[in-house]
Amino acid sequence: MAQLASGSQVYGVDFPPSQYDQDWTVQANIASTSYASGTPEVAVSITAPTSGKVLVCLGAGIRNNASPATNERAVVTYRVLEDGGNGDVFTSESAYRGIISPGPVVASTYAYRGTFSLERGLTPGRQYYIQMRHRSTSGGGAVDIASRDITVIPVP
Amino acid sequence: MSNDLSAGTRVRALDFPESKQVYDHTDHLNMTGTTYTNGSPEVGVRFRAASSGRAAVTISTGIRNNTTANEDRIFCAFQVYVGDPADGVEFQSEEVKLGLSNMAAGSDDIHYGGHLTMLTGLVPGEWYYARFRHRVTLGSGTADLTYRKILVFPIP
Repeated sequence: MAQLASGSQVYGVDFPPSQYDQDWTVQANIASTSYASGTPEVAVSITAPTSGKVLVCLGAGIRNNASPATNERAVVTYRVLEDGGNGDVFTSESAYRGIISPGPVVASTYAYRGTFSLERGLTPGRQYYIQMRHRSTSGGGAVDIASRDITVIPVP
Repeated sequence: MSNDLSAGTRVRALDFPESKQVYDHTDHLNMTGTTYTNGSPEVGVRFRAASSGRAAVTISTGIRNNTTANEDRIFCAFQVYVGDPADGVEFQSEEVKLGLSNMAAGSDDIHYGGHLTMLTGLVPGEWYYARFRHRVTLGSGTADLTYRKILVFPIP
């Protein structure tokens, strides 16, 4: 095995690059109660580190634009797909890992918020696709999303 | 260079400069300023870029609009300078979509939350300064801020 000179710059295989994506296209009048990716999709592709763990951090601006106010809420979360997005669902959507708007909310103003969640059990070296997903709780069509962002960080 | 390293020798990575965090609990009550301000004391950290050129920035806050009479909001964001603010080279301006805001009205309780986003394109080894910034949208003097925190850590 070749030896390294003291002071050489080395890179750990443990930590593939972090990934980030954002989009500020308004997703207006969301009426579907099943999860959708929106247009454009906000998603990242990441290589799993040797720990098999990544931190998934989401941000979103959400409102209920109904007047008078209703109880409809928007859920913004994510799912993880295997094989860089071509494979099975590794982790499906859950509001517990996402951001949900409180309802009823005064119409017209967006609230910007964030959340974090740890994904475990990824196979080191494999590619995963982590995709933001959203839905309406009641299908009333009064909820809007102004901004979406996702940061995924390999962690020990 | 001398003193070659044997395989398996423990080395210190240049990749991970220190994480930095500052927080403050000083109340900022009945705010009227509609342009971004530092508040007092300023909540900011000086940090060094990792070899990846990437860093995670997290801001956390406790905010409310203490009335049902208007839809004033508090926008919390961060701002990043190359070197020191006195040098005047801004790297990232304030953007609430990368930060936090409160629900507009109907709530006198403080909302606490956090939002993590990623900085990319930092010059490895260079020093930067990131600080918490806030403003209100209407300036009606009814919005309060009780907690500010900024955390910056190097990521792969």
